[in-house]
Amino acid sequence: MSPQVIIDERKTRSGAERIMTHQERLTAIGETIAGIAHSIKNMLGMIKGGEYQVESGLQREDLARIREGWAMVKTGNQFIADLVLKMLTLYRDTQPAYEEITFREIIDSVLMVLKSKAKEKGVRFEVHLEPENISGMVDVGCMREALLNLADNAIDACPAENGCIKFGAVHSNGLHTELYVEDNGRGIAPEIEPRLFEPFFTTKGETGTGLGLPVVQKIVEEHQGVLRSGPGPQGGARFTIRIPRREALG
Amino acid sequence: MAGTITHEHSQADKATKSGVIFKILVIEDQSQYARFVQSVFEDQGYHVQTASNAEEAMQLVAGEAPDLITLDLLMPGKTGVKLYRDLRKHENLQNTRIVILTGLDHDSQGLCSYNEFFKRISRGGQVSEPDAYLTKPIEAETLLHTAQKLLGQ
Repeated sequence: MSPQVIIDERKTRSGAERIMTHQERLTAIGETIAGIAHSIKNMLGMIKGGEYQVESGLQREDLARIREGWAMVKTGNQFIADLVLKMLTLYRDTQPAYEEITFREIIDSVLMVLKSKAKEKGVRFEVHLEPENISGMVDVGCMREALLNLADNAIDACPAENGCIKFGAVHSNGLHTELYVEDNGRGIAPEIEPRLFEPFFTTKGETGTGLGLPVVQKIVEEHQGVLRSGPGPQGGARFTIRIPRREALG
Repeated sequence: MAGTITHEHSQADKATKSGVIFKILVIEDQSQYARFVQSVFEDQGYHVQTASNAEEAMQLVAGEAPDLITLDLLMPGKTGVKLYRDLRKHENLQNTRIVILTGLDHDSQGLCSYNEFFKRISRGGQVSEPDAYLTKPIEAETLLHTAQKLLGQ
């Protein structure tokens, strides 16, 4: 084969690769747009339903129905706001702003946010820290967001009665810290596991954005860490964030 | 959970079949959205029941058959596609109209469009099509007119 032919083949191959990459990008963009559109359409349905409840409630002077309708409008608005924030976290390149903090402080702020949801479902929280004042260098806002997403999922996964979520933090060795969130639900179904971190995939029906776990994964990767999922000792799911101990690395 | 009928006589007349009030079953896991659909039908005098999952739905249809069912496709547990097949095959529901009411119109859950839905329900044996396929967001009027048309009103 002459050198000219080799060059031509290379040209062709690189052209094909370029086209493939372009097509793959278009497909990915299309899937993302479809996912966003799907989520927003669902919530527009919620808001429209709320409008109906408010308007018909006003006509009937039915305060309970007006309240229901207004709650639907708020649910829809909150969902869309949440979706936009998660999209920005997921698709924007960011560098963690590291600061030292005790994991107790981060977990407590997560518990504060989820207190009413957990109470509504009868879920109790347990926190296991080794040592009690365990701390680390993390982007506090991002790590809080990651734990919040995991804990929010954990509440949804808990059984209707005696739900229990355990949070933990431990220095797994001299160089890493592990944070975990586990529930006592039914665990992760084997057919679901491969799709867990796929954007817009959700098992929560039409009320899930499908962006919670991809956001957690991105935050963990930005911390040069690893996110693992699997069965926990309570029989439910356990998500573990393993990040390097930057303070130990110096 | 059973809904109550809150309507005026003129509306009740519209929602009857030879003087018997039409019964509608709303299968929807999102409770707020279920309440909205329930209100739309109840405001016109229909008797409405709601089910938030497949198990509840199958229990309800085992009793008195509804005249019309609205079915959400994306619910935790048994998928809407599987539930649709079960409902269509149910001996009590041979004369029941089924309306799909879903937010699904893309392929992130392996479903896209009505054609894909129909392909999936047809796997593993022939099953008849839904009587209507509506995608959210939907206007209350559209939902109501669809139901009225299917019920021959």
